[in-house]
Amino acid sequence: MEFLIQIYPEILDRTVEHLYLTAVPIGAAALTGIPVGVILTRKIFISGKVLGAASVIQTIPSLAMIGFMIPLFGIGVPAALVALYLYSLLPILRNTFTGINGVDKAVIEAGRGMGMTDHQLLMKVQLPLAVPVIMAGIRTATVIVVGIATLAGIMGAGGLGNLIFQGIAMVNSDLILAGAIPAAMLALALDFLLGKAERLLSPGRKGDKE
Amino acid sequence: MILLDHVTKKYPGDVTAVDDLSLEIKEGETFVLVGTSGCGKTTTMKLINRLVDLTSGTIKLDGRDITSMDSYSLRRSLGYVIQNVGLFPHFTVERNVGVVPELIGWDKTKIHTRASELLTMVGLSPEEFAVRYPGELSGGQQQRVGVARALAADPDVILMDEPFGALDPITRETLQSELSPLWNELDKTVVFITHDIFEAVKIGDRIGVMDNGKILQTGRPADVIKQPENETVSSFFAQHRFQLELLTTRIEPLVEAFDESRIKRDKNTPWLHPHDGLIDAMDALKISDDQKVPVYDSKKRYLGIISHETVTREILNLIEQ
Repeated sequence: MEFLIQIYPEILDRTVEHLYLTAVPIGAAALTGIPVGVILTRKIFISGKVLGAASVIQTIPSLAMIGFMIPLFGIGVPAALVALYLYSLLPILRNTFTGINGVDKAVIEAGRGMGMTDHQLLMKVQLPLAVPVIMAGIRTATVIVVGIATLAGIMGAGGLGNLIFQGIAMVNSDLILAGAIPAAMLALALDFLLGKAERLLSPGRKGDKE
Repeated sequence: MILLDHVTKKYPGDVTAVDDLSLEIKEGETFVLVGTSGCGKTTTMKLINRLVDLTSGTIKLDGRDITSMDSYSLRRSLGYVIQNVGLFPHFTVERNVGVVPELIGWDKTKIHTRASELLTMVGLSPEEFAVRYPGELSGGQQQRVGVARALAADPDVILMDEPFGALDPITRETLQSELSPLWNELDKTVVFITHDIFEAVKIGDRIGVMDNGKILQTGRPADVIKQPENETVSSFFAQHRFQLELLTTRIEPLVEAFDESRIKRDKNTPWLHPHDGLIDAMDALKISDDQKVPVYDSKKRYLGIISHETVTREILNLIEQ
């Protein structure tokens, strides 16, 4: 208990840092991944290659990825942000692509047949209908990034990983838990909040047969 | 009026979907293109609203070449109903009906009024259905909304691609008999596609039988069935010929003069319209306790009667042919 009171301010600071390490890459990945995903649905011939490349990035072990970033961006926050951004890209990109492609063909044909332009079709029909799938991609990416962001601790980017690595170095399991438990709770909380946002963004589809 | 002049559509790999097809669809008529799947009927329809581009030939809408029009405004000016309905699942019924008006910039109150009016027309109460989502409706109700949506911006021409094809037989018949008088009364020119010959003869003022990208024969349903111009057309009706003749032989020439005052009438007395078929006459005679059924035209004017004797004689004629 005494330990907890003593470490509490640090946990709070590290959590805020961790949140920053998560939110910035996810935000950047959403801002780039969704438009690129939309473009890929229009240019099917390059979609395989782009999604393939994003998958390859996803397979790079996270420790190695962080290692690759250090020569490029130096030790610290920027390197961590870039690495985490790359990890969050694939789920968002892929879900945008499949979400838009998954919209019922009859609905698309009806829209086109009634004289919607490609742009109107995208904004009024395809994107709104793809929201649940795109949001699922953002949630997946967020949970992944909260986990991997703990590794930012070893490259001096801060976050809850700092506590974990200190704990490992000092063979102090209390310290490890002080980093790990808030990280897990953060992942759950963000997933919950994004789930709420998803429901708000999917305009009334009560009783939809799906 | 829609004019197709030597229209051809070839797909890559030298597949000819529509082959040198010429056709004139008159203003206000319901023209049904009927044929087996893959005969090119859907492609023909999509050429009209330019969802598919022509390879050669011209299509004119009220004298204007459709390729000279903006394809988006062309489509907004034509009603469109498809087999799988294609309602937008994230829009309410009202917003679905108002899609085209919204695209062409009507204001909200006008769209709202129009949507209520149309829902009433297709037999759905606006109070109950306007705020519901398509997922909450049955297949038949969804297609009613689909038809209302096609009528929304009051187009002169409506294209319908197997609109009732995915419905169960009972719902299909209800929709056929409720909705086709609706677009006839509104004087719409309707191009209707189906593979169901019974649907074609029931709905069409004229039908066109299609096979392999070509129109084999066009004409009034009764004429096409009585005088098929070739083997393929005739084989298309084959085993249903007798039924189709009962359906399409109009009672009009069989009406006999009879003193109107001598007809017993109460509200349950069946009556016929001159455009009804022999089969309707048989149904009416069955429930009539008299041996005759009165005939009234659309304006409820008395024309005469159809007698049991005449109908029987006519049916025997058909059997002997």
